[in-house]
Amino acid sequence: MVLLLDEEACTGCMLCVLGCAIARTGEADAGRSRIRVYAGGEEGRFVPLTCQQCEEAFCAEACPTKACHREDETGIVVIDEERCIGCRTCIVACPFGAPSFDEVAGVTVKCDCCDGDPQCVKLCEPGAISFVAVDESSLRKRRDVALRRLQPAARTRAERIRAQEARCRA
Amino acid sequence: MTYLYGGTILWVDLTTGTTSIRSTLDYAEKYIGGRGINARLMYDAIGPDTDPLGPDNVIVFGTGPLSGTAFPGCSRADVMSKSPVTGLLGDANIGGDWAAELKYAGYDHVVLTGRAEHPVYLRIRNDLVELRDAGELWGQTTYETRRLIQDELDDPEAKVLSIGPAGENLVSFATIHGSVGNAAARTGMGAVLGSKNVKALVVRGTKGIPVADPEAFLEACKAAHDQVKGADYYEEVHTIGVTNAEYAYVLSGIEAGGDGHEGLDFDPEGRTDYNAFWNKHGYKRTGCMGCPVHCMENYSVPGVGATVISCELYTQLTWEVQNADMLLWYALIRQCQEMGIDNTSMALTIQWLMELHALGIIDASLTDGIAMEWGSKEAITAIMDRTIANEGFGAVLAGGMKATAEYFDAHVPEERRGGRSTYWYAMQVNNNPMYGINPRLTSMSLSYAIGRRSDCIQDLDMHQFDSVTAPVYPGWSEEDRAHAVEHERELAYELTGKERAGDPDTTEGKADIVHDMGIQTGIADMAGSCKWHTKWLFLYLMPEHYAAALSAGLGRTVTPEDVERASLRVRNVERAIEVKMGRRRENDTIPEKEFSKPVSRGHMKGKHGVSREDLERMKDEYYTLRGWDLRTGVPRHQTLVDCGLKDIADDLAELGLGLEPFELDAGGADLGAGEKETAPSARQGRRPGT
Repeated sequence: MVLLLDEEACTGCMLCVLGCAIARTGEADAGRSRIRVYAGGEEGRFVPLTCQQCEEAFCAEACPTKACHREDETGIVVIDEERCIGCRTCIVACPFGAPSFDEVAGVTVKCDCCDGDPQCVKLCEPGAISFVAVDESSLRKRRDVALRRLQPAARTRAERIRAQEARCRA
Repeated sequence: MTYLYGGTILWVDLTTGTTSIRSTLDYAEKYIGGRGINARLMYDAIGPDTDPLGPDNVIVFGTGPLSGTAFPGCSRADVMSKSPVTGLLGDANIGGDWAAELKYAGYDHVVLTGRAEHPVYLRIRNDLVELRDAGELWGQTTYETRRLIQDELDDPEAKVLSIGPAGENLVSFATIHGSVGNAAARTGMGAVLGSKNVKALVVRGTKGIPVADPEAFLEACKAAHDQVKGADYYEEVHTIGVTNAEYAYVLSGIEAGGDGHEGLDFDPEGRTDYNAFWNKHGYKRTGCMGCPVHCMENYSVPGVGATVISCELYTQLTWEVQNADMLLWYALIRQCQEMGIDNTSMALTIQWLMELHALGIIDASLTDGIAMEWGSKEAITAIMDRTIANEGFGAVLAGGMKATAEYFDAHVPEERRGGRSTYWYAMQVNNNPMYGINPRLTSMSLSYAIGRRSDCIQDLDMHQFDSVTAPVYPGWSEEDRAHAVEHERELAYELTGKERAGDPDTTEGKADIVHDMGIQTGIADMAGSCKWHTKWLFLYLMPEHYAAALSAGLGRTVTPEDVERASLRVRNVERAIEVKMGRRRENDTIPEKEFSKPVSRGHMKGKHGVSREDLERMKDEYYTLRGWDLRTGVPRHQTLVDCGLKDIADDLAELGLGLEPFELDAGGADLGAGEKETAPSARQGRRPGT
């Protein structure tokens, strides 16, 4: 299972960020959240970013103490805080900048999908974050494309998003 | 440890460039935060002689204990100052991302005093507080200011509140603009900032907000989210915003309802169809930090650019001024945001000019040669440009409606004005241009009259509102509509215990509802969350939800009664400020011309209308509930003491206020403070201090 992020649906409400921070650090501290939302470009545009759980995980490969490793059972890449020495090599290695250094804890942290029960998904109202099987991730995208072709009426982005929201709720 | 709060209130003396801090906890228990602590700080800071645009005025930016957490709508900052528009307490509320960032930097409130010698911007990064030169930024739009500051500080995550050229030019109704279409728009807060030579407040914080019991707090937040998402109105406001409701207000004749709007036929082709515009240019829905509702629309229009628009903006620069060109409307809204000017005030001012022009009272010679014809694109754009620049006739308008009326009155012979001042024709309360909603419904007139910002939106009685608009609600079946009206009636009865409280054509129970709405929205404002999530907009967060989140977050018990009491207390502090500024019962009113006039068009045409006697009766009831003196509208000495505001009570007593002997109101209710419940519902009728 992986987190699938959809920037077209993201409204920039930051509830994922805050929910993650409170659940994982006990503080409403956006800077220590495992998921981030960035605003930029035109007014009102947001991009959510978190660990992509890469198959070839540079972070795990780069980690000198193997604190950063893939869990066999779930296939999710996690950082073992006990073994992490806070060297930040994984941050450099990650093409997405997904791991971040937690100054308070003194270790590097990254999204570990909350042991299979991600808090961010629960709080994401517009359905911009979903927790899906790995093969499902591309399936969804394809379904969106197909739907757009099948429904010539659903042309505008707004309509597409509304259709998408309806599907998420269903 | 200071749970939920940033912990400090920051004072910045702009004249000397010095700063000082004080613990928020000195105020937190009594006033909670946000609007509450702001009001107390303002009470201690301003007086009747304070010049709104002078260095003696102060401006306070306040967040609440829930700002920046995961509570629904936790994005709000409350901005207070003495208003250059009303001369009373100015107050505006802004969402976006700024409030949370201020708390992450370790502050709950920022108080600006004095005046900087040259343009500056306040930069806060955790413990670092500095005034930086804003010479290069002066004259820039709000959008551009944000980008330039982020570039200068090399910090794309810096959160910016800024004024635009209108604020710099001291246009009395200028705004302070934030991110995603948010502005502290009403009562001229941008002009105050401009008068202090402050272009922007820039914050970056990297500290967290400690939570006493994270698990319980997150549960309380989720319960609140579920409550909002489970509300009847949620689905609609979440997928199409409040546009449908806005359109229903227009159709029912209670919005965009000046005398100049006798017919709906200015747009026979339906060019103002908002849904068509949204489907063509909409990108997605968006909203503020922490919000599950996302009431705002994000657009991208080729040739104009992208922006975010919410709420009532739709009806004002369209219907109010009879402009059917939606692309023009879009460009004007974007201009308002970039230039930092209040769209409501601007639209209602233009509407007033157009009405005066249509009545033959003014002509182009008084308005820089611009003929104020209904819907004229040239007139609207030229007037807006000149007002923002504070040039020519715009310099008159920038002073507000009253100043403009004085100018007209000096130039137009009395007989052409119908023997009245041109001010008589203006849709304003205490010189603040009214919202588009007209005051010809009973509770609407009451909430306008007693409103602390001189507009109705704070205490709006949605029950009556929806009873009137439901019958024309777009996209609903006849059954849905009838059901909605019945439902509103039931809710109003439940709240007030008065049989006809939900009927639009009576004054019965309206004071109770307006009083209750004031309490509910006050709680959200103090907590630093959005008042839209209260029952005010049928999203139904109740005092219990705020109390639960505060209890878990603060690690001490906060009861629903505690937050309600604090809301009442804060309202009394605000009223005490206004009383000191000279506001009395006679100032709590609506434009004289609106009395005893039925709705002029739409399906309610010929119905309703509020007489002066109706309004006075409701005011009696409302003052009684609030514990305010019936004759003067001043909070009674005992009311203030019961609220735990003995120092304010004594302060007013020294001025000879609040000490009038008890008297009986028209209905015979005993006004002795705390002696008996005046309303049957315990929740709604709770008196200060009981």
